[in-house]
Amino acid sequence: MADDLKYTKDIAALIQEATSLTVVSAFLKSKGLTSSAGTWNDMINKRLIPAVQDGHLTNEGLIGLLRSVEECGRQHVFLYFCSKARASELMDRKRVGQVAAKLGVADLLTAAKATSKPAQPELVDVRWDTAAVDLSLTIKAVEIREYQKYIGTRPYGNELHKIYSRVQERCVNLAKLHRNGLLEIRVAAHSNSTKYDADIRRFWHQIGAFLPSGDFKESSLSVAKDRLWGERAELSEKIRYTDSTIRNEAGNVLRGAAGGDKSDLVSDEAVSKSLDFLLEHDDAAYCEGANIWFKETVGLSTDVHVLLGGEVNEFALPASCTAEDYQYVLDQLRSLNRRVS
Amino acid sequence: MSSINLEALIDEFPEEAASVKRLAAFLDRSEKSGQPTKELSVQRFFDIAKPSSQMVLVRMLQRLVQQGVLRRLVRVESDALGGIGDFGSVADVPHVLFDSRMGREIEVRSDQLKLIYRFEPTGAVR
Repeated sequence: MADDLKYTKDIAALIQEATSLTVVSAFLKSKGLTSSAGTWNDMINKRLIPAVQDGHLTNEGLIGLLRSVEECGRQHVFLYFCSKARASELMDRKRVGQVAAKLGVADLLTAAKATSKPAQPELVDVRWDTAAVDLSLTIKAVEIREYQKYIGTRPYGNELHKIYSRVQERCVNLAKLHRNGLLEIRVAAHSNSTKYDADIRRFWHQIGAFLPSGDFKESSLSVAKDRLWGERAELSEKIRYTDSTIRNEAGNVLRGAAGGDKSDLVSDEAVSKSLDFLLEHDDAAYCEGANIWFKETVGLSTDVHVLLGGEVNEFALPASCTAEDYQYVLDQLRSLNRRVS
Repeated sequence: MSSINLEALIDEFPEEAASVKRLAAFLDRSEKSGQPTKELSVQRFFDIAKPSSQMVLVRMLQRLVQQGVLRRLVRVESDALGGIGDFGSVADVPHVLFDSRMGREIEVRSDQLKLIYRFEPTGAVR
């Protein structure tokens, strides 16, 4: 029997909001289905819906596509950890089921919600990634944010009034707890701010019954930041640097920035060595931030831009990316974050 | 500048005793090094003290501010790098400020504000 078509339409609308026709075409092609469509209307009504009606595609398959296009990139990611034993307790299916029932969201354990624009922040997905055992628990929420977009000025007597339009955008935030104790909190990027402390507090409050914030400690990325700069020669095959910021404990700061965003700071020996000089001659100097690109040539689908800065456990991917590219970046940063003697 | 009351701090944060000791050792080293004033962010203190969470660290730093060991300030940073004004709290930061690094007035944005803890080496850890 064909899946619920209203649900299909809701999922398709969210896919439309989150990605491009090219991505959906590639998805259909990978399933051996007719994939060409010039417009979203054609894609949804002539490709996706008929495929579900014919049983060649399921809503679950479409939810999988939605997850892959809206859960990676355009995010600020905050890393935390707890003990492996505590992670195992928190991921336990019975416990999660009880919490979900108490919150009235037990239905999310069997099917994700295709919520477009909730009036209040809303949990839409609670799921495990499983092999022989549960590898991770993901809790996803959707919220509507409103931000101000500058559109121009208007004279008003002797004054000039700036005018902003109010723009609403759908944002996806998620928490992913791994069985080794690592917790990723991925917060949708703001269009015009770099501050995320209020978002983090609000999201912890929303997921606190599943994952209590008191059980987790921030995982500092300082070692990775220092190694990224210190080992740049060895890393140059896979990483391009567009800027690096070194600060000392007197509060003084030195930033090296590549002239163009396609340039590589590392190729400028004089600028690089000036940053090295501060690191080598001041024991209290440290790498505060970096702007780097993981190169497509290491097997990524494209160059992936990563910002390191802000909070001690924070990194950001300003552009959308594939789940595989995201995982590569996370693995690389975690590997670099291990101190080597 | 007052000295750190280490015992009081450990009494208040018994589960953070190791972090308090690391913090005190850092301030003691800074005191003895004869280096100029230190200005550190919460993030830098986090890497030095290695507390159980950033939230508890902020409470510990607040106690050191009350003891007179540290001074807490809100710094407005220029887009061209460097501070352009220090204020006691976010509420004290003006809407418009002259950016001496760029030579023009700017409208201050929230992402230009940075919380800084200043340590002026004159006291001693006891």
